[in-house]
Amino acid sequence: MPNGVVGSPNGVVGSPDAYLRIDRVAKRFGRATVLDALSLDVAEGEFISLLGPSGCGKTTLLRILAGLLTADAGRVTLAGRELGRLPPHKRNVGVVFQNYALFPHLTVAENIGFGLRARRVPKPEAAARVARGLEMIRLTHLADRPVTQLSGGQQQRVAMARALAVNPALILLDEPLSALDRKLRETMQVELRTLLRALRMTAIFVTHDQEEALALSDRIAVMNAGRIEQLDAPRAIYDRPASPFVLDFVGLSTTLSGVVERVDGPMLEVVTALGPVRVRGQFVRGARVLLAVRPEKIGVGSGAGNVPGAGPRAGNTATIRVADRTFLGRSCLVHGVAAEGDRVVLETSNDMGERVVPGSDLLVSWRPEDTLLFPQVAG
Amino acid sequence: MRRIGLALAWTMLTLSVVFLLAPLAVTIAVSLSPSPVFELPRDELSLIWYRQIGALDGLLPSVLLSLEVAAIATAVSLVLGTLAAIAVVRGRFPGREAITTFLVSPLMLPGLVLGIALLQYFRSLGLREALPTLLLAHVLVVLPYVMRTLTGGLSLFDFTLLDAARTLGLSWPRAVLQVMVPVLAPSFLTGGLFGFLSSVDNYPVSIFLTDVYHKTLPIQLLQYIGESPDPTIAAVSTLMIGLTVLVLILGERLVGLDRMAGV
Repeated sequence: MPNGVVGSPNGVVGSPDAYLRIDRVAKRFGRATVLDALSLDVAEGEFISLLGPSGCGKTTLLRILAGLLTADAGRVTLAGRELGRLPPHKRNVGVVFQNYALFPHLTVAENIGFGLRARRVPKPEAAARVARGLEMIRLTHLADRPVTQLSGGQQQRVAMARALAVNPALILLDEPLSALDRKLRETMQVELRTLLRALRMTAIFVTHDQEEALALSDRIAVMNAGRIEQLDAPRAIYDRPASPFVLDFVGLSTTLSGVVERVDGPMLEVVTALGPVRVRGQFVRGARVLLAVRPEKIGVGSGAGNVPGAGPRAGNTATIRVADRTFLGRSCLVHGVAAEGDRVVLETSNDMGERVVPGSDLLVSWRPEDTLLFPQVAG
Repeated sequence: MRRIGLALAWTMLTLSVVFLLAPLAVTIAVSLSPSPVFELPRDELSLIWYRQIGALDGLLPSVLLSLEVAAIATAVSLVLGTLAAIAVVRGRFPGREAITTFLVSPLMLPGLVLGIALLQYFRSLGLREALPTLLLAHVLVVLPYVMRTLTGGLSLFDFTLLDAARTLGLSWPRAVLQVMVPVLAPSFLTGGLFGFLSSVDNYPVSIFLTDVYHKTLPIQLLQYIGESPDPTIAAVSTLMIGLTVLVLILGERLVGLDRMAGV
């Protein structure tokens, strides 16, 4: 992947005192490379999301960290201890599985206490820790129920409490909220985050849901084809995606391909289907580039692109044919088509959205600073 | 129309139940009759035939032999059947279906055919001892039951549970013992129980492999009927019915009959 852009993909050299260090870990299944010399440093107490489409290697990485899979190459160190080929039960790494994997023949309390019994924690202490775990997830009243009688959200909480009861050095969460309905998922997101913060627990959270990753994480590692495409804070991932892949995977955007027409100091003028677009960046004249704008950065009318203090020609404007509107609740998405079929999407207020008529032409504008610029990938 | 259909269904059900239960009722009744021939009791009941059981020659050894063979065959089948079921359910190799069918096939084969085939096979191997041949044959009788219930149970078993147990601090063998075995308990119990009963009950396979000193219970009972047809046999049968009911009650208490029948 050509890289003239920000971001720190693979081969990150982190601080020497990283709590969890994943160093050039590789894994192949047959001829398929699932993890391609992936490196990642995680600080103590940090909440990191591994975000990517299915098959990007995020679950494989999680299983390697848990010891359920062996890496072909690379090293993993946790709190100064090399994990190497340690079996799962000697790692002190907790896992919350996607389907929770609660033991159906045991009660809620027995599930939470399972790890304590496995570690031969003395009974009185184990009982106290199970009681604390039940309190933490507010299910004390269901302690003696079989887990099979619980609702999805309750089962999820029991799975969390079970993994946390043994006080693991690291907790791995494999899409733990994906089986819940949307409303419950949002509640559980907050609960999970608060809980892990309170315990100062280092967590690695695997998800393919970008909103979940943006909402929960200290940092997000966007993964693609066994590599980390970008590792950054949620805001940076969204505002300054390092590659078209990250741009496409996280959030909506309007993308336009074009050719650099004029280089004017730090500014470029790119010819696109929407006409000339001004953008900040460094490319030579004639270079093929990809432009992108987030929907909320595009405004209706010519005023939205104006930069205070700059000349009237500073902003980017374009006329689009309105194709459709999507009412989102808090705001409204307007979908438009440019001359050559490029799709434009912008987010606007509900009032403005109501006034836009599908089929009519609409003048829109945005600031050059809000235009994202990528090299055009050949092919 | 609907009511006629319903009435018909209920009649069929009643007749079926009566048809199935009548022999049991008759056997129990005959065992309690004082008459020396097979006859339903008229005006008085008697336990005389139960007292006669003790006088039967060779009954106890045959009961012990049957129990011994059934217990060993069931234990061996549980181990082999579980391993085979794991391989068939979890493995990715060609011919898995064929192996399942093959291992269950003794159930579909007439016992007589199996008995003759095994007799010839064991003879050609030079194996003439009654006990080992009986044991091997009964493993074949029990294995299909275990295999069937365990492939069913295992295909519903979530192997992530083992991963979970391992991350919680159990080594792989301990995870299997503390998670997989209890979760699959109904399958083990059902397969083992039906296998055990079919082994105790087996006549057509055993008849070819027994000798004068090793007679299993069904063979011994049939011999008694040939020698002296009196209701002592009915008394023995009644005891066996009682034992079976007891086992079923235990099964209901431990796992529930619906769960046992479900797998």
